[in-house]
Amino acid sequence: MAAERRLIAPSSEPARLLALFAIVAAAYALGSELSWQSFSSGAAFGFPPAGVTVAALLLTPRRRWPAVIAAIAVTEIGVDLQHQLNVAAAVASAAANCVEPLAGATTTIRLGGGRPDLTTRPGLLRYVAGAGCAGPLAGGLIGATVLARSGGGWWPALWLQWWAGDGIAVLVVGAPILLWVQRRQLIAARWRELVLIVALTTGLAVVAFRLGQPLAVLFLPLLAWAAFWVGDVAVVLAGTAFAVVANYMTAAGHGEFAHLGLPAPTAVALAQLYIATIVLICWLLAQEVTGRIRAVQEQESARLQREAADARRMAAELGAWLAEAPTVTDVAERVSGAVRGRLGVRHVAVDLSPDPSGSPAGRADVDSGPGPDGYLASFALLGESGSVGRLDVRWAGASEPSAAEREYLQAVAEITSRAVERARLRQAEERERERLATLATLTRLLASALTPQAIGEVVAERVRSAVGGADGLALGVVSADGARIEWISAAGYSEQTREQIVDLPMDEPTAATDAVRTGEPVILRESAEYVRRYPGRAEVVAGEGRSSWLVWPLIVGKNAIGCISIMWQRPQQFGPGQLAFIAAVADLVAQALVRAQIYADEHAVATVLQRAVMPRMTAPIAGLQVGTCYRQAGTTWVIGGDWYDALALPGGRAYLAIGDVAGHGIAAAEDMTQIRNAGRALAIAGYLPARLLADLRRITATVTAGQFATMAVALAEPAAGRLAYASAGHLPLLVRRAKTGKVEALSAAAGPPLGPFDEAAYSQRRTHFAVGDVLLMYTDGLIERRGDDIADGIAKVSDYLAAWSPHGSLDVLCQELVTALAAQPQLDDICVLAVRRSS
Amino acid sequence: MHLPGEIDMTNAEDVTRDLAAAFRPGASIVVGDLTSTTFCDSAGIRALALAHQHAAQAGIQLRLAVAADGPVRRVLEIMDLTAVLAIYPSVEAASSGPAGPA
Repeated sequence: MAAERRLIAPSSEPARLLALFAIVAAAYALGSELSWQSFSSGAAFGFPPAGVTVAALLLTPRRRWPAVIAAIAVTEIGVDLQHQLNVAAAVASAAANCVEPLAGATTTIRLGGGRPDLTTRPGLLRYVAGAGCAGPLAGGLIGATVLARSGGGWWPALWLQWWAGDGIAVLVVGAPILLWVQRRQLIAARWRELVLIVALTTGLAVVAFRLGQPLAVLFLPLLAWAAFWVGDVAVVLAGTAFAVVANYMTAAGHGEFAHLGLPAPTAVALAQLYIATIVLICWLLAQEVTGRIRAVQEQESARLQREAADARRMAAELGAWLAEAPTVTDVAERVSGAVRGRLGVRHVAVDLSPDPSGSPAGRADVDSGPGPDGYLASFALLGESGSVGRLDVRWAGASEPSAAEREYLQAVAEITSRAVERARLRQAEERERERLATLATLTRLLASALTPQAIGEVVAERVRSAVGGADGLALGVVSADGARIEWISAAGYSEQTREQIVDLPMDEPTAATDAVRTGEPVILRESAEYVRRYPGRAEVVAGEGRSSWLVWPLIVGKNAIGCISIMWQRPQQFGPGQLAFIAAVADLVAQALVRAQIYADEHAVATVLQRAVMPRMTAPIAGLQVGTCYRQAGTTWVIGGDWYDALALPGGRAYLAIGDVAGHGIAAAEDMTQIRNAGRALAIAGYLPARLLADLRRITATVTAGQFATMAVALAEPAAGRLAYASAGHLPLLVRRAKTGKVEALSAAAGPPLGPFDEAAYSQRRTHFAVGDVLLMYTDGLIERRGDDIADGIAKVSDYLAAWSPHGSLDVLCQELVTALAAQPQLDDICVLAVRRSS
Repeated sequence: MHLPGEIDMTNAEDVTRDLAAAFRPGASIVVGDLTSTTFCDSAGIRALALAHQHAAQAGIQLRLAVAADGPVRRVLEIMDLTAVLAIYPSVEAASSGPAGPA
């Protein structure tokens, strides 16, 4: 029937019917002919077509039954006529053989549940009752009558013989066909064993009948073994083989039934009943065994499913816990702890370096087996974007882990993969936030870093950690002549490497010169790659192990003005986020370097101007000692306009002045020069302080750009011990009286700064200036301090001066004042001028 | 107009610019509120002086509200600018007070 199915499957309905007809007819003709032969030789052994027909009906839908019935009728009549039966007998025979399978199949189906499942006991019993009993008995009513009419004989014996012959055929031919269809896979897989069982049965049956041994003694063990070992199919096939042999042997006069003294057909019928009983008992036994085995298997599988569900639940609980793990390291630690706690294994390792090849096995464990240190199982951790690492579990013993353990670990591996990916994502976001914060900080710090060195320090300090914990970082700039790269800072390198970091001629092939020349970053993921590309620089890499290197050019306009060289001792992946961040840093640093250059140029000019108009040493003035101190602002980009002047005038007088031009840079330095020179000229022309300031104000309004300056003027007459002074918005002059050691602020002289004021009147005051008295003039850099009141600042200067040893050097006094009182960092220029009457 | 708590060389130009922006045609008085300013260096004073000049050119009075005993007042006194700039002890006084220095 399997063959039939395969043959008729692809065609249309008529073709199928035709094929069904042909197959049934052929099988029927073959069985029928076999039957005729045995009848004629006197050895009747069942009627095989009875099994074929009922199986055909049970296997085909009811609408195709007519094809089967037609095949039976046509073939039966044909075979009968060929064997010289008269037409009436042939037709009657055909009727009997049509009624029989119809009655058998219908009864079997009617008994409940449609087509019988022969692997179950109810199915088998229905089949035996319907196809094995009802069908043959119904067919036998007609068949026995026909036989009695045509050949004579006792009708009941003929009826019994018919039933026995057809019944055994239903059992040993029909049942195998039906089972064959149901158990095709089993038969295909174990046909060798089935052949062996059939061969053994056949051989044993032949021997048993020949030697007349009691049959059951030998067959029951064999059939029981078949039942246990292979199942019902083996039993049924063994039964078929046994039935065939038993039939032949009994008909040929061998075996117990042959010697009962009964007529041959009756003996055969009895033998057939006996065989049928044996086969049925074994079949039921086989069903029982199969059922028991299945029950045990189901129980076992239910237990395994329970354990697996348990494992999955535990893994899911772990997953919920992992969801809160902030970093991948936390994920790894939690997984190791949980797995060790649940399985009691010796060692759990979560390796989070992605396996570049990924795992071809998908979710399966990539590698496992017993080893000298116990059983090891490795599970690939696979995220959505590929491998994220590996989970290794080592048991204390070498025995294989249970399915539940494996299930658990598999689930853990999946959950770990997801958790690692999530944590990575979170960490990446965190890193991105940090990078943004670092960029903001860098922007601020670089804004006030005014020299390449200061920029180098900021970069070394702030950038290393932000670019993924870089171990070394160097900032190089292209020299003014463009011939070399000069390293202005290098941090984090080993001593050995630091020695190698020397200025590089541009024509030397290195990562740095390449980056500057091409304007493209040079990325070297491995030391080996470095050595391959720059063999001449191998000694630089030698000290740094298995490192990654990155050199990013600092681009301004179209040219690279330098580069940042970064080294990591661990190999880097160089993700797009990291590279974008480094690019942004390089941009900031490049701009800062440009600013530093501009500042340096301007600073140089302003310094030259300032130095030109303000020599360190003033010319000696009779009767006076003069000390000065000028200190430029520290780190600021402002060059102030602070100045002082001390000049001997005709008539033994001395012109003393100090001033502060607001503003910064070259403009302030220019204004300062103008004011200083104009003041000098007016003083030489004999102007007294108040008049001098009033005229100077008019001059500054026209010739200077700053438009706002403070200034104090004192005209000393050492011989007379007098001092005339005036102030244009400047800080009060201080005088330390030699007699009392007290310090006096000369604040009464008033007038606004030199600037855009319409009403500007300057008053002039006088004071005595005794021998040893010290006049102190200073600019606001000395006293202005954030958070301090300006009066407090003045008081501090005053106190310092009062405490000062009056015979010390005036230069030293000025310097000490600046050192002691100037704000740190010093944001503004400071000028201090001290004058002592010496005689 | 409220002016920063600290005025120094880093934001002096901003102060000048912000005040200049307030000198729109039609305005007759602009009050610069320095009552909460605690620090004002020479650059800051220069910014105020420049603003004063710009205001005068635009025909506008720039009045500065400066706390009577605060640090800014002291700086202005030391630089003798109280007679030149229009200084008032509070924003109210500056807004409603008579023209001319207080």
